Amino acid sequence: MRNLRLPQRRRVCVILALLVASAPDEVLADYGARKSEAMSELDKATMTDAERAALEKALETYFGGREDCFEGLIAVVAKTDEAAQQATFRDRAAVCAIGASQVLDRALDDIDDVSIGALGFSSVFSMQEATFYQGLIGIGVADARDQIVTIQVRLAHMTDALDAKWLRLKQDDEQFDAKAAALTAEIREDYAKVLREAAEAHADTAELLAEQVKKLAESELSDISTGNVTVDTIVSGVKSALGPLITQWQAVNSRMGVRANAYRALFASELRVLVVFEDVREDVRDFLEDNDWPKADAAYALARTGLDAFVSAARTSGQSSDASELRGDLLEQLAIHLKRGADVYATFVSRNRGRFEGALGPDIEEQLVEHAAWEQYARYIEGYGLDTKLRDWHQHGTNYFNVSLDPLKSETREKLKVGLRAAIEQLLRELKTAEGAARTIEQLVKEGRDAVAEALD
Amino acid sequence: MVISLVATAAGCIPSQLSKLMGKEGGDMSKRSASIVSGLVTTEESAEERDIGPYGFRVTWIAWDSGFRGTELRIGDRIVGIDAHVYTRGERKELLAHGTAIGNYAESSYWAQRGAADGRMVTLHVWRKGKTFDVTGALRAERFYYADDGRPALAPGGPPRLGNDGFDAAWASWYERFVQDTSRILDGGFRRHGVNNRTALEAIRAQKPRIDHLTAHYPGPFAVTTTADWQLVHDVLLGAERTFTAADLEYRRLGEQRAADVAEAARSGREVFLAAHRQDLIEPFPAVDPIAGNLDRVRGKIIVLPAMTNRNWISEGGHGYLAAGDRQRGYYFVDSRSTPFGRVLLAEHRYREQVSPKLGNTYELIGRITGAPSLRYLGDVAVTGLEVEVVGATVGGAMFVDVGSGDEQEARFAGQDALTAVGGGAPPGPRATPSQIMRAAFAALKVGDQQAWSELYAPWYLSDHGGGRFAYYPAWNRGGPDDWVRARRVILDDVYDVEVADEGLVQRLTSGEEFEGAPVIDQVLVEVEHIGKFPEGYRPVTGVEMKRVWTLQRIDGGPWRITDQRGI
Repeated sequence: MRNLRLPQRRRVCVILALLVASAPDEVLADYGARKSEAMSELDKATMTDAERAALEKALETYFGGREDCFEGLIAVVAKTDEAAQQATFRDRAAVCAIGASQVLDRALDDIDDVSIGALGFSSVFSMQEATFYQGLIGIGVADARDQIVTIQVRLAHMTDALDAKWLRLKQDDEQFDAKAAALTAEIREDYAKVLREAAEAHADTAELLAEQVKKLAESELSDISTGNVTVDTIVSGVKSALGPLITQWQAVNSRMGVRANAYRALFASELRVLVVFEDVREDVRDFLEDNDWPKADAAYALARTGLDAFVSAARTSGQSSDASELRGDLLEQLAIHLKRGADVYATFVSRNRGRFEGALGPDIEEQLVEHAAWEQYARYIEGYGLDTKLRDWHQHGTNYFNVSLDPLKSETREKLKVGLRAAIEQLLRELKTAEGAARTIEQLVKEGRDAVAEALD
Repeated sequence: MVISLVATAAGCIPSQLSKLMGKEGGDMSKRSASIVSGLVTTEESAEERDIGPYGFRVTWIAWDSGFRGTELRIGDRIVGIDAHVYTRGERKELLAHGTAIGNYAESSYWAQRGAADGRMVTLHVWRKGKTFDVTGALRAERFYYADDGRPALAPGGPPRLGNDGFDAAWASWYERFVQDTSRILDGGFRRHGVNNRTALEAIRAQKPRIDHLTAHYPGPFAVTTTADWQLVHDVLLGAERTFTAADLEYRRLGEQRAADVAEAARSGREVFLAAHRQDLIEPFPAVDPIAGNLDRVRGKIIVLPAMTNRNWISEGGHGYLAAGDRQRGYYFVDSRSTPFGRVLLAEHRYREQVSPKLGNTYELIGRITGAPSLRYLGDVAVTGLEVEVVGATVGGAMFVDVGSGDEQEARFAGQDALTAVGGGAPPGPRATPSQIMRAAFAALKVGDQQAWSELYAPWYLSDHGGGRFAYYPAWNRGGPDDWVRARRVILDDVYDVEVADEGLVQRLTSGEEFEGAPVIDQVLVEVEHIGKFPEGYRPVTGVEMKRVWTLQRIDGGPWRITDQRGI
């Protein structure tokens, strides 16, 4: 029969627990079975009344201390800090074991001629209790607590760390994306302006050249000198018309060189962000090798097995019952850690699955790589058809702006050709340079797009 | 002088007592019917494996016992009384009834034999393997009274419940005094783990009360209590030792060795830096690890600022050293990297071979790998450059070129010059347990780890009792893992370790338990550690020091230490 009487302190706990419904954990298990059993054994044992009274008093004292011991051990397992508690648990249990081995040592000191019955009861009881505590010393429940709490604390820390890292990576990445977008816009604007002005300059030059050639041809046919129109004035006029365009192409080419370098640097930075991202994923893989939650589950399972063995090793029915209660209380504390840790782990997973842990999620990849943006940059550059336009203008210049020089006499025509070639030579050089720069930028954007895309494959 | 006066006074106790007892029937004392020896004893347990005959160890001698002033000492084992010799066969009965001498029901034993106050009895006493007789008088238990008739601890006072302005009543104070005194005199250092300096402070704090007792309640009680106080005080204080410069030469050797290695560290670092001058760059401002031109610094060597514990960061248990700040940029060193592991191993070797005292400052020389790194610092993530350690000065005292040595470990500067440190010839195969212990401590003093390790037993005997045991011939390897701690203690708080006592040899196994079973003998050796105090070089005890050592030998071979402790 279980002893339903609760010690004063426990009664207070129970009342408090009933009053404060939100703190049901305060109601601890009843460890009275062994006490009832011991008292019953004491009743049955043959001894004097004085001996019985002395032993009963000693047992009351002992069971009060025993309960304190259990509560102390439960408190150790309930601790939430990262400091290891296994040694503390073992030491406390050892102290309890020493107390148990001496429990009835002095109980019969004041009795003369102690009876065999009293002596036998005292010896057997002490031996059984000492054995009970020896079993308790060996269970790994605090060790499991240490593992679970350590993993939980580390997971929580790592969750915060990874959030901060993701934020930093995104900031860096967005900063580079913004720079790339701005750079692309600048290139677009620059090309738009120079292409527009180049078209005008080419048209003006062609018109000027055609008009001057016509005048010079007419003068040659009539043998009447027009006075002002000569090969030299034509060449000089073309040079003047092309001058601002050449200067502009020079400036654009210079800027494009700088922009190509800026693109290169941006791609390198973007790639480094991705490299760091992959490094963090690698760190997380290493971290989980030591701190993955299944390890905590395994620790809990091992502790439960140890506690089961402790219960089954109990020597008496009363011990078994109390051991079972204690097992329940210890596992309950462990379960609280496990539940809290599982929540932390769930948060860790929900925040990082597909990001820093497991297969990369498409949204994460898109956030980092921005395929669409890079495709757009590439299209912007390609969309101008700069290659073709520059080639056309080059040919345009080489063909003397499509102005026919045939009306001129052969000698005059050759002389004008030599003069014009010298006048447009610089323009052609700049157009060639611009063609190369445009090709380089186009190539860079494509390579960058592909490299960034491949970095996370 | 004080000691001799107390001893003289203590010798006079029986005669003084008899004078006082002469007043019996008067106001000062009353006799009870109980006849006792005035001793407190405990059954000699098996803690020392039942060496010696069965008996009862004396843990206290009452101030008015008839055995005060005799040869009997606390710690002696009483193995018989008059014609009766205690045997294990009567153990149950003795324990059940508590009738052995000094046990709680001793008086009933004497009552059965009709003993009266003043009857002389002879105790057969065993002490460290020798047996002798001590004769003393049994006495009737007394109740004492003060001059005003209040119950007292002794005739005339002090009153049991009075406190004369002190914290506790005389009765409870004396009970505590007896408890503490008994604990210390009853093998306190080896049996109870007493810290002598703490206990000495506590006993000195009792001096005003002792003086008050002598001044206000002169008599045998005051004399014996003062004598007990003085005895405990002297035991705790211990005898003063004198050390010559030669005795402490080992400490100078240790300091010299550390100084030599520190000098080698300084020059080694200079040479190392000179050899890498071409690749050296200023570490700060650091190149931006994401947007900067890493090609410019990749492979370059930097000297990082000195780093301490505050520079360590941990990410889920993985440690990094972080140098720099947000303005100038960061460098990170991975503590799990192979190069840094070589630094840590060299550090461990330094502690083993040079000095256990080494600061935790790291002055690292590193090569910039060019890899960017993202670490969690405080509550923000910061980027920095990874650095591979190529050289390190640790604690300002040791320098290691990470690339030196072999695949297993690097060698710190000056390590190769540390070979010949032998502490003398190793003890021969017939060396006594005491000689083994002395040799172990000599090796510890000079830092000869090899010689020290060889004095520890590789085997392990697990005794399950009842003749059952497990024997592992090669359980331990290379001495206990306590060398660095022990070196720190011998170079710091402890100045010498002396052998105080060598116990009796005990045979643990006969060699007939199973075929091939070894014959294992065991002996306990008690040592005394000497510390330095305002009162000079004197014994020191505490948890850092092991007082009683266990040595064993196999089949009559050399004695070896089986404890896995260093000092």
